Amino acid sequence: MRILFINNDGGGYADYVDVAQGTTVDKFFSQQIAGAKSEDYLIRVNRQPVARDHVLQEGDRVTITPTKVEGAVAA
Amino acid sequence: MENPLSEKGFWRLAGVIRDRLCAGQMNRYREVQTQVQHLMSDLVELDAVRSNLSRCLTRGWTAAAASLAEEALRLFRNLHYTGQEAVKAAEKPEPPVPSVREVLEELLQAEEEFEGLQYYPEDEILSVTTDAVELEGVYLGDFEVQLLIPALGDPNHRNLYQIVALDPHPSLRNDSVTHPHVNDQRLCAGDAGAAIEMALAGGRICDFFMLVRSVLTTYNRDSAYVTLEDWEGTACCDCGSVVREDDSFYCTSCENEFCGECSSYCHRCEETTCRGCLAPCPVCEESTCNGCLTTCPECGRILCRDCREEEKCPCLEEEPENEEETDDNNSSRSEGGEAAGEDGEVRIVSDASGASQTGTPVETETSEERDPEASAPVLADRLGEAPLLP
Repeated sequence: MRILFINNDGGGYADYVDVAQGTTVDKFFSQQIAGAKSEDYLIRVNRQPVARDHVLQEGDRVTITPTKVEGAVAA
Repeated sequence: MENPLSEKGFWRLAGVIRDRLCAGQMNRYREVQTQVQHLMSDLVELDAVRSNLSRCLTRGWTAAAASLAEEALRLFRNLHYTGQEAVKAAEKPEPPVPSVREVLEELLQAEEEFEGLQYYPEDEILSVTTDAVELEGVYLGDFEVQLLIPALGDPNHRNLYQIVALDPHPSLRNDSVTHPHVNDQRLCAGDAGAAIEMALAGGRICDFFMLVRSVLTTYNRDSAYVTLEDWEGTACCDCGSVVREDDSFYCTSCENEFCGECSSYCHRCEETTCRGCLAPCPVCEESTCNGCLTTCPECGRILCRDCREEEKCPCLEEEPENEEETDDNNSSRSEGGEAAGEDGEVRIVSDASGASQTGTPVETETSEERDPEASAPVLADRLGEAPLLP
């Protein structure tokens, strides 16, 4: 099934991705953001917070936003 | 004044934001158009070179042909560069402009995430307020993230928003730094810069606000306008008192920060210097830094650069007195015809004709070392015959 994935980590992009039926939010997160802890991110499905075991549906809009991003001094 | 948004207000605002995003997209197309124009202008020049080169070849003008070949090379290089810039402009990722409904959903989500969304219609500012921020035990207060809607579409995304401290607890070192990564209400987004730019370009207003909040709640000590360690000011390296950045002084000698009480300046180079790095010049007694102290080449005495250049060292001041004394002696000898001075030094005084002679003393014995009977005038034309008895 196809979902819209908006990744606000790193460069930030929005794209459609294919995922297997029955994929949970937790599994989707580990597939997309390798090596990171889900508690350091705000995950929204269709603009709403959901549980880790929430099962994604066709056409869902998933947003992953880091809660800790290091600022810097302007170059 | 902030205006609570009604349902109609949300729709209207969503429409305005979408219009601005469309205008921004047109700006990106204008950039592509500019690059095309640059390419065309290079091509026109290249065509002129082609035509002239053809004439040169027909008529056998080798010198002119060589010059045109160089011109062609310059244009080829220009074309290469301009082409690359054109590719960049055309390839720039361009998120689709969202529909009015999608923008509306962003606004509603932001209102939910931040428990409120403020809109200032007179300035067309849309804002959210963060919770109070405290980083590593330093309380910074809450911040209002203001999105300037008229600036949407500006290629420089840093001009699109500002961070206003609602309960400011700025750094004592610098009033305009209200957060380690906020200076003059500008956030340096660091790692979030690209994601914020993409979010704004795509009209993802809520994502933009959330990313800014993530930066505001994170501390990067390696790249802060003012580190939290120095937030309360700078400790004077001497007395330890904490002072604001404007009131602290950097010692150019030891390279540390000092308070006004512990700072002064070098009277020679006028550089700010802490009192510990200053010493009075033994000659002029002015405070002088280590860099401006030197030694007298004659006696090795420590003194300031100016005193050395002006030859004020006491050892040098003694010499003119001796010279004066010598001059006096010489003149009295010339007048009185005496060959030796009171100190008993042997000097060249005058020749047989009585004309005054000058020259280096042959000997420099002191009166204590010499037998007074041995003192005798030495004539310049009879050197080597001394001592002569009177």
